[in-house]
Amino acid sequence: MRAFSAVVASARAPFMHFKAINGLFQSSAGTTPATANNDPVGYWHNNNGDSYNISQSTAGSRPLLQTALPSVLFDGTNDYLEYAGSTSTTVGTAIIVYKTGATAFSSRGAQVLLSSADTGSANNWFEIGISSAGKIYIESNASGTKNTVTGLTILSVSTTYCVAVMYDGTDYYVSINGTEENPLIVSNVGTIAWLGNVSSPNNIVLGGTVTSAGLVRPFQGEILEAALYAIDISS
Amino acid sequence: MAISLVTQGGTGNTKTGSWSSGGTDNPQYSSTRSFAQCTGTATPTHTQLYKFGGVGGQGTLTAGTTYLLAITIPTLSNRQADQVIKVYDSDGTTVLCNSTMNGQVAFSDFTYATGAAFGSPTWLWLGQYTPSSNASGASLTIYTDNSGADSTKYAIGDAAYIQLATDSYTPVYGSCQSGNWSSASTWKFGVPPSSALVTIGYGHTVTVDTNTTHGSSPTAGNDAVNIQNLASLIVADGATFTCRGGVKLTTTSGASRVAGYFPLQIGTGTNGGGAIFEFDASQAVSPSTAIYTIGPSSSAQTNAWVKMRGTQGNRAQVRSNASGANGRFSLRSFVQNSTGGLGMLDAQDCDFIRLGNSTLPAFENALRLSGEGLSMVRCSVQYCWGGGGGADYAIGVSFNGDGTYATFTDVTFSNTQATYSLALTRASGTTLGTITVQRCVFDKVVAFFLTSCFGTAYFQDNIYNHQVRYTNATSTPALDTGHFFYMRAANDGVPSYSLSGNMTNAYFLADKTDDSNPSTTGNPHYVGAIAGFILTGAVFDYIGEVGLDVGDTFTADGGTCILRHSIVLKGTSTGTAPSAGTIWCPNAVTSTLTLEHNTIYCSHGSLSGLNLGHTEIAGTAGSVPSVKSNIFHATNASVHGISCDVQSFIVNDFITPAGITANTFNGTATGTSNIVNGVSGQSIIGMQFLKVSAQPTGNLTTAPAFVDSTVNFLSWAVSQGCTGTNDQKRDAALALIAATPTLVRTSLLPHVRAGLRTTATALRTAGHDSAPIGACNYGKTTRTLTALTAFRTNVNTRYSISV
Repeated sequence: MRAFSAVVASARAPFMHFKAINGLFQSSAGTTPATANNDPVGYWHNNNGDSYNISQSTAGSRPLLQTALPSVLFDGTNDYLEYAGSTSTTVGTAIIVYKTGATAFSSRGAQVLLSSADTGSANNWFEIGISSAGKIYIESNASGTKNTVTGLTILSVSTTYCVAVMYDGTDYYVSINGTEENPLIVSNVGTIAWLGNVSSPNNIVLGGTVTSAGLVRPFQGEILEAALYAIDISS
Repeated sequence: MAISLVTQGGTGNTKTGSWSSGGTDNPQYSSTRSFAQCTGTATPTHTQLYKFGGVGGQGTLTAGTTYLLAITIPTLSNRQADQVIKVYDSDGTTVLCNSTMNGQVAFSDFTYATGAAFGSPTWLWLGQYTPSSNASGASLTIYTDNSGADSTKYAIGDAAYIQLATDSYTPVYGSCQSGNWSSASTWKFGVPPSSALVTIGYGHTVTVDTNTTHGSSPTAGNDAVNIQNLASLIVADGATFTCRGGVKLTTTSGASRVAGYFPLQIGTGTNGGGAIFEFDASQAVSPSTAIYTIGPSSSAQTNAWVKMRGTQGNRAQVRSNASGANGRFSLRSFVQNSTGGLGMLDAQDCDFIRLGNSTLPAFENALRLSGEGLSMVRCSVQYCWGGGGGADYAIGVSFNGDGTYATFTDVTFSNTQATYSLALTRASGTTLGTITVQRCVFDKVVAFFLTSCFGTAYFQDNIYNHQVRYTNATSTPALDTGHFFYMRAANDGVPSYSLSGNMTNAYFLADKTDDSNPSTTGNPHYVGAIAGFILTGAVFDYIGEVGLDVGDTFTADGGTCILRHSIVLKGTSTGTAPSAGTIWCPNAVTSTLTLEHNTIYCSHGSLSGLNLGHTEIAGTAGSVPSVKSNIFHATNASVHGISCDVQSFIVNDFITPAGITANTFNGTATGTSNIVNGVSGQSIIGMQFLKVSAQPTGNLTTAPAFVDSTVNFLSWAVSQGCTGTNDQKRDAALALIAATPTLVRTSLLPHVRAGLRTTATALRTAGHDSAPIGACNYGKTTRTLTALTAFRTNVNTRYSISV
């Protein structure tokens, strides 16, 4: 596992920033650019210039480039992109620009946009996702004890959003398209956490959560951008 | 009385309908003499089209009876000037009439055709003819004749039509082909006289292309237009069809809909919109009682769909003339039609004005079969009636079949003349109807019969400006969020809103400043929670009257009731310590109430934020199992956070003492008349007249230190730029919400919640779930969103989006 804090020490810039407008490659080796509509995306280059990129080695699990927005389309079945490392930050900000899929949320169940997990366990992870009720949620699982915080805004299908989740070590601040999610509702009472609080994390994933159980709660929809900061950018 | 009626045929030479085929009397079907075409001199000199009476003829002619004869040959191509259509006697030797109308037949009845030119198409209305007394000769044979010098062929098209009638017969003014209403060629007898009952014939589409007034304003229930099976009447965009009578949708029985077929279509929306259908009873003997109906006949029906399309800038309309009784829709599909039917409405960008009356509703719909539905999108319903009685619904839709649906999106009800604006009810049986009501504005009662046979219900962003009734609530809406509940003087009931299920993001505003009788109507009686109700993220806002500064906000009337993350605002009346009101539990023996993460401004006097045992219901232990992480605050030191109506009456531990924790009681009195474990006179922070087995623990008195405790609807109005007096500001804000109901979720509620965030660090993680105490998030004072805003700006630029 590669610790992350060293590369972000001096910046308020995101340590991971993926933009669908560039940096997409078809294979996980990152050699052949993905340029045409429905080209597979096996590698998404980190736009901040360092080496923390996300990829997918399994051809059948690669999302597809959508040139319209542009965006990266996750099929909600087995697509995801993974960085095989983690962050040790226990405060931070995640901003994800995404378009929800066409399927009703209630039919899909929970869907994860961004996660970090311990692949050696099924019960250690942190994720930001969309609940089966169509609400943004933040959930951490510490050896089976979950802490779940959910917004009240009910998202619409086939709609583009910018969700920002900030954590200052005490509480979350969630914004959807610039409006604060207020109130945030605790539905599972555990320990509030951030990516770096996950026990033995060894991945950062876009499009689902990957644990010892494999990919769970896959996201159906498109991701335009995703940025991770090691600070609460509102502080 | 007609003795024989031959309707037009189908296509080509394959005649359908009433045409007889074969036989010497109908040689048009012979292989050598085509009905559709006679060619040159090699063919017979005349072609017999039809024969009335006599051997092989249709109908019976009675000697001595005078008949009228009408002929149409709508399509006559390549006809030369000397080729004529003549009417011959029975043996074809005597020409009774020809195209110049100067034969042996008198022409006193030429009403609808000149007969002189035979322009294509043309109708002939022939004069009187009296058959001889010889029965065998008492027949007419009608020939087309091409025996003139020019032998160029001509053709008689599909819609040839012959009608024979007694002279007392009133012609059936019907279409003979598709076309415009204003075009004579569309009709059998030319453009129908305005007084005629018109039939749109099978398969024809007639378009009201110009402003047209039709009908005689008959007595109530009679029609001006009869639309037959698979026929359509279309009112073109920009045209007004003033209909003096009803429109009968005479479709055929069956159980499946012909895709895309609408017997009546008011506007297409593709040519600028603005089509108008107006009921007009002004010519009736009693205009005030002559109500007309758009709807099917009483026999088994199907396909009785009505489609309306305007544009967003120029809506289509169905309205009643203000000078007479109102017309209405009766698209019932099963009450009268036991075999089923599809009598529905599909309207977009339309206005419905002055429909229904005190005995008949504006809309009468019943959904029975899969695929049936009623859909209104971007419509207004104005001055519509409900028919009186217990089902006084301006629009009432009854579900009684799987797969049915009702959609109301961006529909505004105003000046409703009924008790109810809308009622979605259910009939018996298993039903899986889908109900969508979103961004609608109601001015009267709305009722949703949420029985178990209801299907999936979606309620979102509605403005309820009166009462709302969820009745028979044994099912829960799949979505129920974003509503604005508004009541003014004299609108209140007990309770105003009977709700159930699971609702989020609701704003309840009662403005009683205009009430002329505050002693009886001042209390808004907001929510009666029935059959279990979970309300999350609500705001109760009260603009009280002088001297009456408290109301009831939420009453647990049945089932498991939960109020979470909701706010009871300080009121704005001139009372001592006004509040939106008190939360009561229970109002039914079986109900329970949980309060978690609420911010409650507590009212004055003996009342409190939460009152127990309303109307002296003893309840059971644990009726209030959880009161956690709430902010109870007051500005009158005599007010309590939690109290009891009649302490001696309720059971011990009506409220579970261990369940009262992690609250803050700020500015409230510490009662000293509590009974704790049987000992009277006990002090409990913020509580009075409780009867519990143990002292509640873990509660605070920390001041919430709100970001802005003055936020309410008025302050939001100001933030939106509304000006004038406070009433004017509020009215302007109401107009904003009516125009854009989603503002409730996206602007109004966030405005209030932003103000009522606590900045007290002692409350930041002090909730029972480690979340901030109160309804809102913690108000971190050092937070700045500059970086996030910049990120969003860049993203919006990069992708041409707005997020």
